[in-house]
Amino acid sequence: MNIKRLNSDKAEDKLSDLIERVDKVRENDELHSLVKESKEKYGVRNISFAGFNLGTLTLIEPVSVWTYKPEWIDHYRRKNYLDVDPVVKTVPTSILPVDWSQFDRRDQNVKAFFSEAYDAGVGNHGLSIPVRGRNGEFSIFSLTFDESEHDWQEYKRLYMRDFQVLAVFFHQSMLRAHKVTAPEFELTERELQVLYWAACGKTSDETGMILGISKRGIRYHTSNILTKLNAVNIAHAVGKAVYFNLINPPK
Amino acid sequence: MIILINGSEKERYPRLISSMYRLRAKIFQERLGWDVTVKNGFEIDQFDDINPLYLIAVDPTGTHVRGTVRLLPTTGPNMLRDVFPMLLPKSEIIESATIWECSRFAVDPSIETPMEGHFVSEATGELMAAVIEVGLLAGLTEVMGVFDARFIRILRAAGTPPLLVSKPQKIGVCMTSVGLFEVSEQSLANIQKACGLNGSVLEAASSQRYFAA
Repeated sequence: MNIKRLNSDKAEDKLSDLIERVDKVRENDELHSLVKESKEKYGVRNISFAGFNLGTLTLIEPVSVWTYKPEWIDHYRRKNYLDVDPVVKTVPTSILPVDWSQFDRRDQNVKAFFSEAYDAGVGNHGLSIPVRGRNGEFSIFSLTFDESEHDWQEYKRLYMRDFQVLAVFFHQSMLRAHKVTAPEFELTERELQVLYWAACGKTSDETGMILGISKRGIRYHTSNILTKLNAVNIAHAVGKAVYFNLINPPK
Repeated sequence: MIILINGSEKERYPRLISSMYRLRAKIFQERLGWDVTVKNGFEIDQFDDINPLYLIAVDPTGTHVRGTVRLLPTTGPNMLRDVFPMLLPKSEIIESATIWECSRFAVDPSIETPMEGHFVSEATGELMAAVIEVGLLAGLTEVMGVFDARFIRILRAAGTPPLLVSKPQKIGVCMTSVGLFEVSEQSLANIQKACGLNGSVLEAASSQRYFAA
C-alpha cells in the first residue's frame, strides 16, 4: 500500500462521510454494510465491531458485525474462541487502543488461535479500540492490515483519530439499532438517600435514624425504589443503582 | 521518566501503585483539603476500580514516585460527569471519542522545585508531556480536567494554556474550573520547550507494552 497516496487524500472527508452514514443507522443489517464500507474506504484488510453488556446486568450474547470470511466466524464459534481470543480478554479493561502484537503468544492456545486467524485471512497486523459507554456497556472496534510493519506504524499514526471517532459512532449506532437506551430512573432525592445509606451497609433502622425518618417512612421509600428499579430486594436495588450510576457510595 | 500502568495490571506494580496512592493522600487531603477518602494512608476512589490508565513519574532509578496523573475516556464514567457535574452549566456535558479526562494530578512537594531556568519541576513537565504523548498515540484531540487555579498557572507556564469552559467555582478550599488542553505535536513541542525536555518522556518498556513501539 502506498501510504503517501493515503496521506494526500482527504482523510477528513472520508471520515465525515462515513460518520454521517453511521449516524443514520437504525437496523443491525445497516451496521453490517457499514463495516464493509469503512473497510473499503480505509483500505484495511478487515474491520469488526462487537458490543457487550447491553442494557442488562448479565453479559448477554455480544452484538457483532465483521468483514471476515464466514468460514473464520464458523471456525471461531465452533472452537469457542471467545474464551481464547486475547482481544476479548484484555481490550475491555484498557482505555488505550491495543495493537495485537502486544499480546503474549507463548500460550499454545493463543498461538494456535493467531496462526489459524492468519491462515483464514484475518490479516497480518491488528488493532482494537475499546469504547466505554455511559451505562456499563462497551464495544470493541477492530481493524486488520496486511502491509509491512513500517507502513502499519505510519498508518496507525495517520488514522488513529479517525478510528477512535468511528468506534464511538458505531457504538452509538449499535445502541440505537438494538433499542438499547439508557433506562431513565426518576428517583426522588429521598429515595436516592435511602439507597445511598443502604449501599453504605446501613440497616433500614439505621438509615431511618440518619435521615430522621420513621420506620414506616423508610418502608414506603424502599417499596417505591423497588418498583422504580424493578428490583426484588434492597440489595438488588443497590446493585442496579451503582451499576447505572444513580449513587456513588464510598468504597 | 514516566511509567504507564493500565488499571487492570495494578497488581504487577504493587510498590509504585501504593506510593502513588500515598502521594495522592498527601496532596489531596493534607495539602489541598479536598473531601477525599483516605484509608490506611491510601487515597483511592471509585474510578480506580474501573481501570483507568495511570501515568507515574519516577526518578531515574525507576523506583521513587515523584508524581502521578490518571486518564479516563469521557464516553464512560468519569469525574466530571459523575462527581462534578455541577461545574458545567446545566445539561452541558463533555463526551467525545477524542477527549479524555485527566484527574488526580499530584506531584511530590519535596521535589517540586522548578528546574534551572524553567517554571515547573521536572516531574510536572514530564507528566504533562506524557499526557500529550499518550494522547497523540491514542488519537485524541483534547484532554479535559477539573483544574484548580494553581494547576491552571502551571499549565500556562508549561506552554499549554487550557481553554476554560466553566466559571470558577469553589471545591473544598480551591477555586476550580473545567478546562481543556490541546493534544497536538505543537502543544507537545511547547511543553518540551517550556520544561526543557528532550524527546519522549515515556519509559521504553511502557511504550513497548502499550504501543508496540
